[in-house]
Amino acid sequence: MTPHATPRLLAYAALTAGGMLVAVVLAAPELVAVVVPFAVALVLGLAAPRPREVTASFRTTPPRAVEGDEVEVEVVVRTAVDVARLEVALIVPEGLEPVGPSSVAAAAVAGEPETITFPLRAVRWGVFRPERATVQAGAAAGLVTWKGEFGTRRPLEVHPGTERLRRLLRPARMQPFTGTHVSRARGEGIEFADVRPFVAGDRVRSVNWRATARRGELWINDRHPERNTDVVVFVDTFADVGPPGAGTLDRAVRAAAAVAARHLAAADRVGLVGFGGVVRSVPAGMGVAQLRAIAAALLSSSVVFTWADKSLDILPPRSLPPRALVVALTPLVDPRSVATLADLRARGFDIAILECGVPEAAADPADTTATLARRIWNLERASVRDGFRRSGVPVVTWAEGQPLEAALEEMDRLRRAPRPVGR
Amino acid sequence: MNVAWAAQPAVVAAVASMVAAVGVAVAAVVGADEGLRPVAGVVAGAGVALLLGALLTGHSWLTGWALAGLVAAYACAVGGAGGALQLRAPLVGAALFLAGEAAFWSFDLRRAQGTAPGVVAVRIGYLAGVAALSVAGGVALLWIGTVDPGWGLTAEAAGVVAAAGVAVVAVSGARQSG
Repeated sequence: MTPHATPRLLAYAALTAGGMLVAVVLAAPELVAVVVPFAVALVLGLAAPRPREVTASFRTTPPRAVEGDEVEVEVVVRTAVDVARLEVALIVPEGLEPVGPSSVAAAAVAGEPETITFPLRAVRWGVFRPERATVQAGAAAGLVTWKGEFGTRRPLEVHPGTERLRRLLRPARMQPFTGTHVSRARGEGIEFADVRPFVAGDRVRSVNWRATARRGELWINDRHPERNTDVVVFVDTFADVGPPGAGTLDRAVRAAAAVAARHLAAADRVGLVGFGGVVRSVPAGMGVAQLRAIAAALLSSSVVFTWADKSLDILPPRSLPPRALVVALTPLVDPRSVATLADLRARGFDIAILECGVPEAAADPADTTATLARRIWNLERASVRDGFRRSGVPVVTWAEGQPLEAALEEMDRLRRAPRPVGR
Repeated sequence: MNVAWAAQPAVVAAVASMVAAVGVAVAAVVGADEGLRPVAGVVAGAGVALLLGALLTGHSWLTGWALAGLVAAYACAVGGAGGALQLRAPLVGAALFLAGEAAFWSFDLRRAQGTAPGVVAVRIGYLAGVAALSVAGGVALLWIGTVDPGWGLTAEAAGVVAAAGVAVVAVSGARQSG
């Protein structure tokens, strides 16, 4: 804690000394009586015990939150002496906003804990360090303030608020393990596929007795087996277009979390690739632990500017399992991510591109240069989209404000429509 | 939203400060001699205006100058009183102190958006205590001022030394604290 003189100290000292001097010069004892309160305040203030030793401890509840949730940061201050003026101001990081006051005046008794609670709302996903506060302590007179900054490096994870998805993207290829996707192949399953004559080795429980009675020989029900698939969520972190908190990266992260959670719930193996200035990857896996790993990787997603030319070669081999469905979340503005997606397609991956729609900037119609530049830029992006569509990659633009479910529905429709088939 | 939390008490403190300051200014103008009344009025008005400016702009350092202006205005009143002792001086001092404290409290409230229970009562108790103590002390000083010990220049010198001593004590105390 470092002491700081407040404006009171100088003002009261000057008034007291000046008033007494003028009183002597004018031979007017009334002026001494006028400045007596300031002298009394000076004596009381400077004689008060000094709060040199102050400690502060923190606790955040809950330790994890979802966007829109409220969390509470509890600051417990202990002082070695009685403190009449204790001011605790929480340093609120960007991404969290105080629900009530973020600085509180209180008083502390020596040795007793003074607990102050600050409610905060998580407005954006990310990893924050909310346990930092400045503490000011002083005597009742408020002539000298002891200031100090306290804090911990304990993180608060705010997970993206995900839209609950009902629909899964149908993968083109599946893995041989049991899952929830109805395979086109025939085998043991639930979904009825067709009937066929009995062959040796067929189970009796598969006999279709109606067809058998009608045709006079054993007929068997064929079924589609339920299989799982490998899904890789590809998040383009080269660019973030749009206002803070509502840019394309924010929406891509929210969508990635929703898609990953939905596919993991459907017993698929899900992996993550964050492709940008910093490349992050989580190898495909299953279960709650995998969801946590993906969430942790998504929370550290950010745009890191780089001139470096990045390609698939820098990705760990396990991050892109063969026959995986790649769900790409990208604004399609950086040529490096566009080239990488084209490369993935060329390598035979099943790709679905969900283009995070770039919000239309309010352009000044009088500014013809800006209008023309915008039009050219839009044409270039349309050209990129058409290029992917021509090569059989469905591209759906997920406009701002549109539900993710609707975009995925459109994606599923496009994927079921006839299109060029990759290798 | 946070501003709304803090606005009301800060405004109340600022208004209280202005009321006390206007009271001191009126006391200075009313108590001044006919000839010095315009001067006292101008100086007191400047003090009140400075305080108003400080409260509106949030520049707490202006408060000291505002209080100094009000003290100067009151000095005009007592200097031109022609030797008659103004017995309301301790009350004027208490009002001046409350004006300053309320102004500083208003600044504090703008910084601290919330106040824990009991803090306001403690602070009001402190202000009332200091004001009562200083009124009593001021009355005692005025009574002492009516007594002429016949020390002449010695008493004058003692007054100057006391004033300088207060300044030295205040500065050294601040240095020790800092």
